[in-house]
Amino acid sequence: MLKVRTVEPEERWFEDFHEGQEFPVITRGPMMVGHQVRWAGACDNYESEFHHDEYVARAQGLPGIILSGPLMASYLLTAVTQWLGRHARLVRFFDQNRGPTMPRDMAHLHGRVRRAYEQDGRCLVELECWITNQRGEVTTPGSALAELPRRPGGGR
Amino acid sequence: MAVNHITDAVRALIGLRSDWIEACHPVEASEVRRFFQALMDPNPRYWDAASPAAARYGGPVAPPGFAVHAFRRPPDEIEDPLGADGDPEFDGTSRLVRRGLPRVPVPLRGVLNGGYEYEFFSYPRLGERILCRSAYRDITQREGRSGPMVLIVVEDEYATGGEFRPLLKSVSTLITR
Repeated sequence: MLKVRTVEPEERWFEDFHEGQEFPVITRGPMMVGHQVRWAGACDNYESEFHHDEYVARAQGLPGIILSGPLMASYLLTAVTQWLGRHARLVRFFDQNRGPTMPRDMAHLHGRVRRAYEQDGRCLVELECWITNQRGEVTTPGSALAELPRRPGGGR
Repeated sequence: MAVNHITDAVRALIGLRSDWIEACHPVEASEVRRFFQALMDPNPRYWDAASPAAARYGGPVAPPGFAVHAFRRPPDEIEDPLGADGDPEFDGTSRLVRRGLPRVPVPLRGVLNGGYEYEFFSYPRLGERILCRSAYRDITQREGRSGPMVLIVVEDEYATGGEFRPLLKSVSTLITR
């Protein structure tokens, strides 16, 4: 029987999170034009030649080809779902495309709990998240809010 | 400010909301596969109907941001977005912000995505149809390092089914420069 590797997020509960908690850094890259082309194919969106044509990118005053902001945001969103575990229900997500990610750049995905709190009977975890490149520059700052269940039976 | 791109015609677009538009195909397993592979996130909730992960949602679901990118070119759309009409300087950008909204009449060529703000309600399942309606929430001008920039803030609501079950609300900022 063929064994399929599944990658479901870990099982985590509201009690597993506390303010200031740092998540393991997830590294993607080096990013390549191929990552961008694969994303364009997945979205069936081939507009904006500057995402894969150096000539057009420079003609538009960009430093060169830059990877799609929504692609980088989607990586960050995926990291959030991994960090918060399989029971988390995403409520909100925010990102800002502040700096370019260019071919051969690394993308280090960071996250930290800003608050873990209860409101109107809901258990919520708010976190800040961001992507840095190999020079430590923040290219994509963001934040997220998710609702989590309490651990069955209580306790940590 | 040297040039004011926020003309009356541009201002008139603020608040304009489109009708609901339906994506040309329902959520298909292979489209979801291409999407989660692009994200490098092979969570079984996206593809394995037999997994507890998918069972939690009543079957495989699409990744959280999928609906935003589900409005592909319909098969009956003759106009090719890469149709350069012989122009060697064509940059491949149609500058159509959303299918249901008119273009913003601003003579700036570069378009960048400034970021997203998502509010999640539910995930689309395989076979469900995705609908979207969009609105220009705001259009403003700022001076950037390379000249004027026009920021276009678009609000999108995504839903599915005849009952319009909410999927996602998105606010995105496009930067033209």
